[in-house]
Amino acid sequence: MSKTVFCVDDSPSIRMLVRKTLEPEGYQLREANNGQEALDALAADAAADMFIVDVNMPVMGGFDFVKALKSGAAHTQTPVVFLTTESGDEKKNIGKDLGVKGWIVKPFEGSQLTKIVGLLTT
Amino acid sequence: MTYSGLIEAITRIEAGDLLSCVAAMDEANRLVGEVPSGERAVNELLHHVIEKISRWVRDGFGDDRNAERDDLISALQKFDAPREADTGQSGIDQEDADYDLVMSFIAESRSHLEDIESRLLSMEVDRDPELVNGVFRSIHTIKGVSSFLGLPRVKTLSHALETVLDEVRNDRRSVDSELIDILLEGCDRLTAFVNALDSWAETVEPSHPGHLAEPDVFINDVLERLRSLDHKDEAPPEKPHSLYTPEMIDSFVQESLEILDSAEKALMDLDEGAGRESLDEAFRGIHTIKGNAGFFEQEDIGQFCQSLESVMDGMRKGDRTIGSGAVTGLLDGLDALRSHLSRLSSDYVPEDEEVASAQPNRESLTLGKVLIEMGAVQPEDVDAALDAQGRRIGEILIDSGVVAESTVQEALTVQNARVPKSETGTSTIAKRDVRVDTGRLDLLFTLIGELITAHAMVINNPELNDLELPEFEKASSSMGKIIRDIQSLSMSIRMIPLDGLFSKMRRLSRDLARKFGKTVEFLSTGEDTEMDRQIIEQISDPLVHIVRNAIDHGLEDGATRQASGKSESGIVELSARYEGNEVWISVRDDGGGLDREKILARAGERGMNIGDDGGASMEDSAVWSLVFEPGFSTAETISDVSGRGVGMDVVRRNIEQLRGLVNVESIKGKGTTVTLQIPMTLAIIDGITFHAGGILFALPIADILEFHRPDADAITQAPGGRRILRIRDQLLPVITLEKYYKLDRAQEDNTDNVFIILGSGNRRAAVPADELLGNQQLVIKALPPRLRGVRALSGCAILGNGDVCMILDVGYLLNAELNGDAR
Repeated sequence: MSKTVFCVDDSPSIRMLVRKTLEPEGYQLREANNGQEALDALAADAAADMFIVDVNMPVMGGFDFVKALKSGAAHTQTPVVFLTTESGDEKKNIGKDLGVKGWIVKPFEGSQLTKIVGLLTT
Repeated sequence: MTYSGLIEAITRIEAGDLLSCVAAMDEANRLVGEVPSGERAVNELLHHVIEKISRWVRDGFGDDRNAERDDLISALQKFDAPREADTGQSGIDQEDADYDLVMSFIAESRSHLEDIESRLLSMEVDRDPELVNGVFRSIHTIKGVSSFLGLPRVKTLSHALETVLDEVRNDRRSVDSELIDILLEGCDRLTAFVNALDSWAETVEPSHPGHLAEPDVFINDVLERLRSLDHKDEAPPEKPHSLYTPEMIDSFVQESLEILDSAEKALMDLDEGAGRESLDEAFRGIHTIKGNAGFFEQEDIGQFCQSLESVMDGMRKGDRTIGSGAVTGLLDGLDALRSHLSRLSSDYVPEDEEVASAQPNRESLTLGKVLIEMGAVQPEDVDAALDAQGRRIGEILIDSGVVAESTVQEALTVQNARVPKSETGTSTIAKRDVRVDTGRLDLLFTLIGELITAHAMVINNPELNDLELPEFEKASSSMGKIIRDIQSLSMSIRMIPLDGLFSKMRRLSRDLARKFGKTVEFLSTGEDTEMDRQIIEQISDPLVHIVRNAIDHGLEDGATRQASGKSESGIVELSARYEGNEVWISVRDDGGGLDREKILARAGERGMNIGDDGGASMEDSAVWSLVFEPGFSTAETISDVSGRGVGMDVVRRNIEQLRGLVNVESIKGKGTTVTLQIPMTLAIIDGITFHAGGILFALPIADILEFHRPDADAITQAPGGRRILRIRDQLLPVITLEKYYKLDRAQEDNTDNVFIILGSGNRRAAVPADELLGNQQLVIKALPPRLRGVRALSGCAILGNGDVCMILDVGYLLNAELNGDAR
C-alpha cells in the first residue's frame, strides 16, 4: 500500500520538485500552499504518512502549522520534516521542541529526499 | 580502502540535519560496494553504520546521539587506510537542466517580482509592516528555488536584498527613497535574470535542454550599493540615480535599431525617387530615438540625432535638392548611430582592438555638421504639409499578416455583452499555465475568423431562401451559438488586464517626477479592465507620451502650485473603464491645464485654419484638437523632447490606427484629461449595410447615432453647395457619398431617403442612404491593392450572400468634414 506524503510549501516550483521526485517512487502526494490550507485539507481527509513543511509561508507558517498539527489527534506521531534555506540555531531548537524529525536544507538532491522519505515512512 | 570520506561525512552529521545523515549513508553504501569479498568484518561494520544512522533519522534528533556518533567514528578509524581523494557531494546535477523547474521558476518569480515592485512603490509612502514582510518572503522564495537551478548570482543578489529587508522589518533600518531605489534596481536585475532564462528556454528542446549556464547579468554594482547603504557616504558617483536598468537599455537599443532599419529603408526609397513621405518617416524615426535617448541620458546620441534631424528638416522645407550625396551622408549617420547604440547593449562584446569608447564615430559626427552647414539650415519648425497626404488605409488594420485577399483577420469580438472581468490572480496558488507558440495562436484566431464567415455564408445562402427548414434552422442556430462561444473564448485568451501597463506607468511617473524635480502622486483605477494584449502593446507608447507630457508640461513645479493654493504634490491619475464597445483610458493631471490663447496664437503662426476671428469662436475641444495637428508645438526650445511637434500627432495617429479616438478636456488652472477611446473589436464589427450611389456600403453600428427620415424642408443648401440637415435643433452637415466618391450617377433628390446620423466624439454628420439592407457581423478584410488609396474606407467585407461591401471609416469621414474637404 503506497504511502502518502503531504508537502506544504508556498512555492509551486518546490512542490513540483517534490512531486516529481517522489511520485515515480510510488508515493502519493498531497500539496498545500500554506499551513492553514493544509489544516483545512486534513480536516476533510486526514490521510498522510509524512509531512514535508516549508518554514516560511504566508498566512500560516511552518512552525504554527506543526504546532496545530501536533495538538490534534490524528497526527501526533506522523513524521514531519522542515524545508529551510538556512539551518539557524533558533530554528533547530524550535523544531526539536515540536517533535519534528529534522530539517532538509535547500537545495537538496532528489535521491536524498527519497531516502529520507523512505526511512521515515517504513 | 579508506574510510576518511565516511568519517568526515559522519562528523558532519548534525542533530536534525537530515541531509547530512543521508549523505553519510550514501557514502557508507558506496563503500559497501567496494568491500573485497571475504572481508566480513568490514561489511558488518558498514551495515552497522547504516543501521545506526537510519535509526537517528527515524527517531528524530537529539544531542544524545553525539556519543553514539563518536563511537562510530572511532570504530571506523581503526580500519582507516591512507587517504584517497574525497569524492564529496555530487551536488546539483550539472548535466541536463530540469526544464520544468526552470519554467516553473520563471513563472513563479515573475509573479513574485511584480508583487515586489508594487509593494516597494507602496512602501515609499506606506509604513505598513506587512508590505516589508511580503517583499521579504517573496525574495526569500526566489532565493530558495534558484538554489535548485544552480544560480549562484541570483542567490547572492537575493540574499543581499533579503538582508537589507530583514533590517527594515526589524526596525534596524529606515525606509527612504534611496533605499527603495536600490531595492527596485535589485529587483530589476532579478527580472533580467528571469528574462534571460526565458530566452534560454525558448532556444532549447524541452525534453533535452542541456546544461543551464547562469545568465551573465551584472550584479556587482547593486551589491556595492547595498553594502554601502551602511556607511554614510554617498553612493558611487558614476550613477547617482539609476533610473534605468541594463534591461531597459537593451530594450531601448533594440527598439532604436529597429527604427534605424526602417529609417534606412525610407532614405533609400527617397534616393530612388520616392516622395516626401519617406523623408518624413525617417525624420520621425530619428526623432523618436532622440526622445528615448534623452530619457536614458545618452547626451551624445541625443545630440547626434539632433544634427540628423536638422539636416532632414532642411530637406523637408524643400529648398535643397535631395541628392544622392546628401542621402549617403544621412545613411552614414545612421550607421554611426547604429554602432554606437550596439555598444550600449549589455551583451555587447567588443572586438579585441576596439576601444569601447563612449563617443559615436567622430568622422560621422563631423559629416553631419558639414551637411548642416552646406544646407544653411535653420532649425525651424516642421512643415505643416506633413498631414496633407491621406492616410494609408492599410495602416488601419492591425496584425496585418494580410498577404493575399484570401487572408482573413483574426476574430476578436464582443457579441453583445461586455467581456466579463476575470479574477486577476489574487490567489497565492499559481494558475496552471501553458506555453503556446504565438504563431499557432494567431493562426487559430485567423481560422476562427474564417469559420465565422463560412458559417454566415452557409446560413445566409440564397439557395435556402424559399425553403422551410425548421430542423436545419435549429441545428444551425445551435452551431452559431457554439461559434460565438469559441469567439468569446479566443478573445478572452488574448485579453489581459491593464494592470501591467499601469504598473509600468506608475514606475515611469515616479522616475520622471524625480527627473523633473517634481513630486507626483500616482493614482489608478480600473487596472483590472481587460484588453487585447496586442492593443495594449500598441497603446503603451502613446500612453508614455501622454504621461510624460502631463508630468513635464502639465504639472507645475512645487513652488508654483503652492503659490496658487494647490498641494505641492501633483496628481497624475490613470483610469480605465468599459464604455459600450470600447475601453476608455484616461490620464488626468491637476496641473495648469492647456493654454487656449497660446495654442491659438501658435496655430495662427503656423497658418492653421482657425477662422477669421483668430479662433475666438472655436469651441474648446476644437482648440485642443489643434495640438494634435502635425507641425504644432508650443515648446520654446527645439531640443525639448516634444519640441519638434511630432509627439502628439504620432499619439493620435497610433490611436486612430486602432480605430480609436483621442479626446482632450482641459480647464485652465485646474488640469487636463486626455482620454483614449479604443474599440475592443478589431477586425469584426457589427455593421449596418446599405446602398448609396449604386455601391454597397457598411457602417459600424457603434458610430451610428440614429436613423432619420427628414421632412422635405429640413434639408437646405448652404452657400458653397454643401447641404445641411436640420434635426430637432441641430444642424448637421450632409455627406453625400455619391459626391464624396465622385460616383457617376445622376444627382438624386434624396429627400425621402433615410439619413444615417453618424457621430464620433463631438463630430456629427448625416449620410443619405438609398436603401438600408440590414444589420450583420462583418469580418473586415483589407482592401485589394487597387483600392488601397481610396479615402475613408477601413476595409471591405464579404456578406452572407457573397456580395462585397465597403466599410466606411467614420473617423476619417467626419475629420474631412470638419476640415471642409467633403461636400
